[in-house]
Amino acid sequence: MVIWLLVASALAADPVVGVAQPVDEPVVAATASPQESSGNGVSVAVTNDFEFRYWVRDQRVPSFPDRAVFNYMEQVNRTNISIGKGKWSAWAQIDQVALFANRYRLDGELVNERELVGPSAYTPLPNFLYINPEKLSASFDGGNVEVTLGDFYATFGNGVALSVNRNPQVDIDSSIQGARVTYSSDLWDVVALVGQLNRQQVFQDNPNLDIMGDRRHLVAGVRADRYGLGPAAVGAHAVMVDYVQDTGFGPSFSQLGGPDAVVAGASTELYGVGGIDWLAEADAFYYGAGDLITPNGDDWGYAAYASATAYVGPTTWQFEGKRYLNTETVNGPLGDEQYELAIAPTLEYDLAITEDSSGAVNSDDIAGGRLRVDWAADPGRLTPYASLGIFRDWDTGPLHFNTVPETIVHPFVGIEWFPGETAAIVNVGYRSDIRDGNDSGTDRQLYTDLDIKFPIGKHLHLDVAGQGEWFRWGVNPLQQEDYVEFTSSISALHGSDWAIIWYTDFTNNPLVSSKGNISEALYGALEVQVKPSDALTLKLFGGSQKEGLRCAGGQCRVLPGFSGIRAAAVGSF
Amino acid sequence: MRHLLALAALVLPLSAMADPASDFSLRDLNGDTVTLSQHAGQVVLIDFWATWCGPCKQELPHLQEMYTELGDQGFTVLAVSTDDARDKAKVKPFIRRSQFSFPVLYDTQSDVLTAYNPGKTLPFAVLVGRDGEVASLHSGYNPGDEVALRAEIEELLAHGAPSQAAPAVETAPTAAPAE
Repeated sequence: MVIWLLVASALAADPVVGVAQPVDEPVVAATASPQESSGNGVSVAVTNDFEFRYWVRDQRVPSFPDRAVFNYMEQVNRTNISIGKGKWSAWAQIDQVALFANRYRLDGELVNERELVGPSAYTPLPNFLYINPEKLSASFDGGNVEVTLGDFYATFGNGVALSVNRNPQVDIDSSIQGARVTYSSDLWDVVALVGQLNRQQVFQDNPNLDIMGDRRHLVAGVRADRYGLGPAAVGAHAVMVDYVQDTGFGPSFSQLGGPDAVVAGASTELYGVGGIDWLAEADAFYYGAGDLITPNGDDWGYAAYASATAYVGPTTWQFEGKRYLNTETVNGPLGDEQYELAIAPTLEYDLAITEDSSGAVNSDDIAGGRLRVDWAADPGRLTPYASLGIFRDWDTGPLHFNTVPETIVHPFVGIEWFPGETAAIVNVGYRSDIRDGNDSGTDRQLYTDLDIKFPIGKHLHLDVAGQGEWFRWGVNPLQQEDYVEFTSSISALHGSDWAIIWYTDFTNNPLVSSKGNISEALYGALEVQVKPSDALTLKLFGGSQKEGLRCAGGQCRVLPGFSGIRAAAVGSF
Repeated sequence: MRHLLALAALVLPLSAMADPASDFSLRDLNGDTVTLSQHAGQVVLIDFWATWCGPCKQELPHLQEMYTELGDQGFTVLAVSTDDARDKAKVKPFIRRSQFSFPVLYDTQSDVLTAYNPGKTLPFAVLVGRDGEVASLHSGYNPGDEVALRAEIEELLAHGAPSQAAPAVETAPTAAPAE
């Protein structure tokens, strides 16, 4: 925290102006430390996450090919502060980002190559520094009733109607800023909320350029869950959304009209009925806004999802089924803001999702199911498993590569093995997107991912991890080229004290815009991690990593490639 | 800048103090309510994990061993699933087939996660002593970490029987854990 303040102070006092020059050793000062404290019943937790990146760009000004003036530096910080006293608690998240060397002087004229803050975001600070009180929240816990004012996350049921949550794997941290009241007892959970969607403006992993202001869409919802109905729990919910076009606090009220979208649904969970655990949810969607009405003229949609899990001896059999029609439409107005309001179970395997299959993830007209069988050969230690997913996707909208409906067949097998100091997780799958008729062909994907860790000496382990795919397109209007790509890492680990990691990425996928540092398709990078205590992990990375689509928690985002140096500290006390 | 320095001056003195673990109430896999305060007087490991997290899965068998072997001495594990709501169906089958018997809790609104673990690392564990104070935080898992963790737990267990402890967590309505 202190070091961060000192760095921020230095930034504010001495911005970089002039011709940008690469630095031999970027000055790195970092601390990331949840600090727990209390006095007179007051508990305070502070977490600080600091990262510094030196971005290398191969762009050049034509008249100065020897000067890497497009290289720049970025420093990102996130501070979380939680305070509790008795029944009261408060939480704040403050994000800060600064750019250095993002401008250069050409022929005596200052050229601002990269803007940190776009015109739609307000900041009184100089244009190389941005500080945002991203989350502010206060709660009162009165026993069964809790009231929260400010930011909170919210999920109803299985996420079909509402799922506004943090997803750090893909650098998404959206919340609702407003009021939430919850009632909880042994038999009931009831939550009512109203507020504005609060999208994070400062990214932790993605580059921060042209930061845009928030479009503060209005959302209101209520859900009630009843437990203890014999072996059952049931719940029902309703959510209303009013989208706004402009940024800032005002439009959420001045542009308030009738609800643009309404979702109402119910879910149930049955514990061991007939020897089977059941989950089911059904939702109905209504769209009041003209731009949400489908090309077919539909102003409605629905979603049905169910899961049944049986335990037969050492095996677990789980079947999940879904039918979604016009359910992704509710997320459409948030597309350019890169987060989602509602995330239904996809039944997809996150690590295998490609640009092609992400169309099925976001399909507005899809049905299918997945059967997965796990065999607990040595419970908790050795589990082989197999899965088969079959879907029918009728959506041929703009996000899809298919122009005709398709049938998706996706089997995969895997194993998890944790025999003491050795650990192995390996998956192999083959996915076919079979288009109707003979003219569109079939997209085919063979993939694997693995993580194998084994001892090579006293307190010393080698960790080999990676994922790769071979992709062959069918026929489609864009005629993308077939490709092979993989990411991998080989790590030497000394317990949790230190690690040396070598990364190798490869891709000849023309949809990937990044370029390798070893060859155009091959990327290499080295990272050193040191953990001097449980409190602190220091990381220093140098090299290149490829751009790639990453999916987690039902959301996908293209994470940009990186070339350069970055340093960070992640810690806990 | 003066405001930043003032903030630092505010935070630094507080950071030198101790910390009581915040109480919470979550539903377990069978829909029953579990609170931290109902385990007052015990040594509690609050472990944040997810079904997609490989290191979490590697660590959980070790936590089960500690839960089994040290439970009589007053140790328990509260495994808080951070899986998204859309992945809820994956949690219970994983726990049942692995034969883990410690309480597993859903944090569907991410309230507990926000209070304890606003960072990105999983697994993340909070070790709470018999006195209800946070003894230590542990992020990530590598083979061998469980040895040091167990030693720390055993040391905390040795600091007095449950009946002798003065729990700092506030009491709340309780329900028997189903697991």
